[in-house]
Amino acid sequence: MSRTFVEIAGKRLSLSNLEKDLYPSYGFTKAHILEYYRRIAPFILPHLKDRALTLKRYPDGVEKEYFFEKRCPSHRPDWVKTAELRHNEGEKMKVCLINNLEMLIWVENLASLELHVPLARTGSPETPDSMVFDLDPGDGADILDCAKVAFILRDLLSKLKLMSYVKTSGKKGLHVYVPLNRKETTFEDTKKFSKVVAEVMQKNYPDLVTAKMAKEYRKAKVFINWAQNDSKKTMVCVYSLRAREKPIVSCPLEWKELERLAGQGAPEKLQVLHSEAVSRAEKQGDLFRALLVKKQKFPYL
Amino acid sequence: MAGKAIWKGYINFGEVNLPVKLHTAIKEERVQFHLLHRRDHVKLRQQMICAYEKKPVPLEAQVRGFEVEEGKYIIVDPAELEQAEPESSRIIEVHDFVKTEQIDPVFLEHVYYLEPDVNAKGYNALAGALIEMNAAGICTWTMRKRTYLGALQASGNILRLTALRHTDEVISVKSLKLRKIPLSEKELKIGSDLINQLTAPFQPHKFEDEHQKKLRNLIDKKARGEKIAILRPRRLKPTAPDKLLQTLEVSLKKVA
Repeated sequence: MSRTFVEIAGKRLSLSNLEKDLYPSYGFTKAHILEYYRRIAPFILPHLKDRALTLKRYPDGVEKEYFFEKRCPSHRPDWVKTAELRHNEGEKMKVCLINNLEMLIWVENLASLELHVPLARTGSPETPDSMVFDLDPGDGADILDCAKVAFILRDLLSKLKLMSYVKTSGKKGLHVYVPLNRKETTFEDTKKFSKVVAEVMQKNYPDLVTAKMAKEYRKAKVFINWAQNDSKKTMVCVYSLRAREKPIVSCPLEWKELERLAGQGAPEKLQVLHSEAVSRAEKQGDLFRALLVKKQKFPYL
Repeated sequence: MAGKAIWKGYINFGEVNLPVKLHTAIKEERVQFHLLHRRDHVKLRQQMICAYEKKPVPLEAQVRGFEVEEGKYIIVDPAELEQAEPESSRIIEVHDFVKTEQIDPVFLEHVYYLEPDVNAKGYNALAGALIEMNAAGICTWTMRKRTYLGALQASGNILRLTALRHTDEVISVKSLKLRKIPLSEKELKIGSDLINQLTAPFQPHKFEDEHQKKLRNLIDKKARGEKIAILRPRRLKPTAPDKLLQTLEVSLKKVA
């Protein structure tokens, strides 16, 4: 095993197998991955901060087996920050918190290509700071159909005085987020609200939308997965890489940019590569910043 | 002969043993519809529901029963049914020959064309003789666990086999006990004249199935223009956004 030692903020890291090609059909090594996360760090770190990370590790690359790891690996340097979570039956579990660059580089060195985090922070695990609509196309539908649904959602939410923000899932779908950032909001609220919205959407656009999880309902439709609004669920973090053929990023887009790209009628235009994600972020700043700061309140609830 | 034969057998009488292949002469091409759930157009399938418990009953829990009187059944198991099945055989056995017109059309069922199989010497001779003598061979055979009664005939130089109904399947006119109506010579003459005027060669193609044609037209039209269930809907329904908001507000107030 080849090893390289680096020092970040006074912390010494041992990086292994930097030359290993983890996206073999594209040609993207672990060194490339670390470089991507180093450059995107200023933008992704505020979104990872104090959230119980679920590692999705691809030790032999995206074409080989992967595994989820919720527990922070025990072979960790002593400076790795963790939080203690109470698991289902009161069992305690230590999770990794990615609060700085050295932590980010450390988990990426474990080939944790995808970073999944809950909608709440560890200090207040029952308080979601946003609500999400996970738009997932069934067989025969695509990301362009998701975009249609996203636009309707955006308009509908704005009429309820709720601003929403969109990112690509990095796979086939889109994620629409509504920042809340109020300590009074519970997952019960976000679940109730998103479920009603999903069901009303299904009723009004039966040819385009389903609010039901079962595969047979999802054919040629967009599934609005409202059930992601749960303290036990995680979403892929904004700016995380995805384990696909190419290093594609779950990337935020301005609404008018989504309109422009979707208008070209080509689903592949909505796949943002690592390099483009970095240049967009460096040019436009963090389009998801509102998720960190904007306070919004549900009407009626 | 184009197409795939559905069965092979031997025409057998006297010294004759003629290998033939059966081709069905009928195609069923009616417009078929699927049953879908109105709400989301998902395909529906059938299930056997217990009449008492109102629950679906799986295949392995189903048996066959013959109703002897209301609610009383004799249960037969698959092994018993198998015993009653006819012995499989490949012989189309000709019992007698009759004049073709003696076969009342009420008996006619399904028609098969017979293709000469390899070494079918005498196929042409048999077809020619049947036409010459205006005869039909009354025969029986077993095909797919069923015994058939049939008429072996020829048309052009092709042999054909028409499955006939068994006598107990045919309802006699007598059993209807129709009233006898007297008929005068004059009435008969008028009737015959009328028929003579309308006499034409048999041209079945003049008469199309208007209902099927209308159904096909309807479907063609829908497929071209309006959206139909089997096509993937690409366009949004023009629901007024204001109405959507209203519906949402009502629903939100309900759960609040």
